[in-house]
Amino acid sequence: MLRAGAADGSVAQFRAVIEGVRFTGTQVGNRLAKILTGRKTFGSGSNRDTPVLELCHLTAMAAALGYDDRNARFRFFLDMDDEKRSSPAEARRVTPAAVRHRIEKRHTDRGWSRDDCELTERGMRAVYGSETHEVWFDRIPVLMAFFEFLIGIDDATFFAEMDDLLQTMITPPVTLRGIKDASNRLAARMRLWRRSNIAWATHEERFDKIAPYLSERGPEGNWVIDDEAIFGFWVLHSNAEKKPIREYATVFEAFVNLSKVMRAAEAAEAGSDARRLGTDFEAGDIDVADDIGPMSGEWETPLAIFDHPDLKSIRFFKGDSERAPIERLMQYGPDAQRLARAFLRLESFAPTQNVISNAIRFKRGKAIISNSVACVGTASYQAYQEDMERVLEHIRRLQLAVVHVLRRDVDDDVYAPISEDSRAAFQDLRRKGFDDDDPDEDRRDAFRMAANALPSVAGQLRGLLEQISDLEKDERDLALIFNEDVSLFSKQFRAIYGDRQ
Amino acid sequence: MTRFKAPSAEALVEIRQEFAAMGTYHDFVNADSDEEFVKEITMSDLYAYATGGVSYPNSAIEAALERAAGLRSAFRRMVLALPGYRFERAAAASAGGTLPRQTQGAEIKFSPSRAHDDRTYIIIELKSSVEPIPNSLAVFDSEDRAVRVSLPPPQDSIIQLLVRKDSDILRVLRDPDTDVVLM
Repeated sequence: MLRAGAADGSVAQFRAVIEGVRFTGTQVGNRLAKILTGRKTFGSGSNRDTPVLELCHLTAMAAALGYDDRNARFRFFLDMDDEKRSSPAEARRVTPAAVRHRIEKRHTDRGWSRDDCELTERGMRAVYGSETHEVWFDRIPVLMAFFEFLIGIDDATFFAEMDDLLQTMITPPVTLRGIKDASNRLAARMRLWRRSNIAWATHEERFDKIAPYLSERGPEGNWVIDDEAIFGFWVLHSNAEKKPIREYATVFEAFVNLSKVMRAAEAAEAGSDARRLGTDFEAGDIDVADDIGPMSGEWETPLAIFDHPDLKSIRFFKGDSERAPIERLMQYGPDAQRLARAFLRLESFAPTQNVISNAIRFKRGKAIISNSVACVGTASYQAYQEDMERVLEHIRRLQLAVVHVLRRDVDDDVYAPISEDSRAAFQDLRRKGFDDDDPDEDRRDAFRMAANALPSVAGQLRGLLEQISDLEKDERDLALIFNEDVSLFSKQFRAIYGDRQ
Repeated sequence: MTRFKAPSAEALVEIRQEFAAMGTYHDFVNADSDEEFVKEITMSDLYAYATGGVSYPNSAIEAALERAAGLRSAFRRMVLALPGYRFERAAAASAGGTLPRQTQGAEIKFSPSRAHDDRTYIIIELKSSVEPIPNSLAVFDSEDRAVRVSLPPPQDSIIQLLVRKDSDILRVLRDPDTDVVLM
């Protein structure tokens, strides 16, 4: 995928943080990306600088627990020193549970050095006169990742200044004014970083094309985002003389993004998106038991949980045949269902367009280009449908197998009718992690995590398959729909790449 | 299909801004994992290197430190913030040899080897106990470059190390404008 708007260095730094041992397999990456790009939740009361203020409050609260000199602060943010966990990698992993354990233990061992701080059910709270600020345990991992990212920006040239700012801020007496001053200075640096590292213009230019297109397309006073709006826009702009948007995949994503923004804006306006202030904006500010559990709010792929280190040792999916085919569906989730035909086009024709682009880029010969322009070899919608049905069946069997592990010793009315099927499903899965149906507690926890995510995966698959059925009801046979799209895409590919054949 | 009320001119500005933020967010999250990136050293890696969680020498971290002055400065700050012995800078350059260094609770002295003309003993005397017992000596020059050597365990509070006279560690210890730390 082309990175239109983020500088390579900043993406590399981001990836180093979230793919390191501390945050891998958690959902911290998505939340950190939202902070870095300044995304906000409409109606939440947050703004782009809110996470910086939260970080300063967290630093002040940690200082009140004795993390009050430079090294203690580095240790708090950069090193999870939880002695109870087993492996060195596990000891460094930052999860809400580990954060909670550490802070509660610290509180038991040392108590607060200030009497305006307290532990709460969900985190830590500080009271400054009439203002109260609370940071939840669930929120702290992403703030730690943010700290790590921020002190490392521009090859750590901001490190010393930030360190001095925070040290001054926590020097007694700690005041709200001091916290806000430090926050303002850090936020100013963050804005500077965004200006240097994020090319907003690329995405803004896309918006400036999409907005008038939707207004013109009408009906008046409305923007309608549907399959044909996406295809029509792509036809219009993929071969434009000035700054064309060639890739269908880019257009699809832009429309999905716009849908999300519009939905959030409308919900906020309608007041139906009221959220509590102050703790977890990037997660939609909801209560989560830990940072790998299912989330409400904005859609996030349920497959992410299977990248968690504890689940990687269980082969729930074969990469090429069971996970790769559904990766994009899980990425777009409900938007793929709302835009079912546009999504089928994405799955079938975007790979063909990639073949053409790469053939041109790497000079692979005209035959490849000609065949791809004619959509020879493009995977059909029927094949895709069959693939989804096959994976859905695999998910169904996975769910049964997981139930067998978690419920085999439970004698109840729910489990009894499926106990034989569950056992059979488990025994049929002859793969890593499915060799012991009475595993230790850690392994059972891993199966529980999977049990939470699998219904969401199955739900998306079923939802899309239903939408595909509806397409057939509304229009014609899926093969006819595919053939019609082959003609449409082939015609447009010829318009874009005709002279390269 | 989704139908939205077309935004007002005022709302359009905010939606445009959020659209750009969301697009960039996807640039971060969906960066192609096959794409070649220079592996960055994270600040937690660097802190683990300072505290011994990552053992010395680590070639990737050393290469990053060599490349980036900001990282070197950060590393020095991390090391100097650790509990332990930090020695005062030497009073002046010495024409004849390496000047001793002192700090509260410890002293570093130098003594030529009688058995080997080309070697010198670095003798570290620990007069008080700081936990953990130091296992390496680090010297930072004026550009924050660090030279580190591993130390044997102390015997009767004395750590003794035999090094070549032309070794890097003696070269930087001869420079009075360096920070010396026992880690």
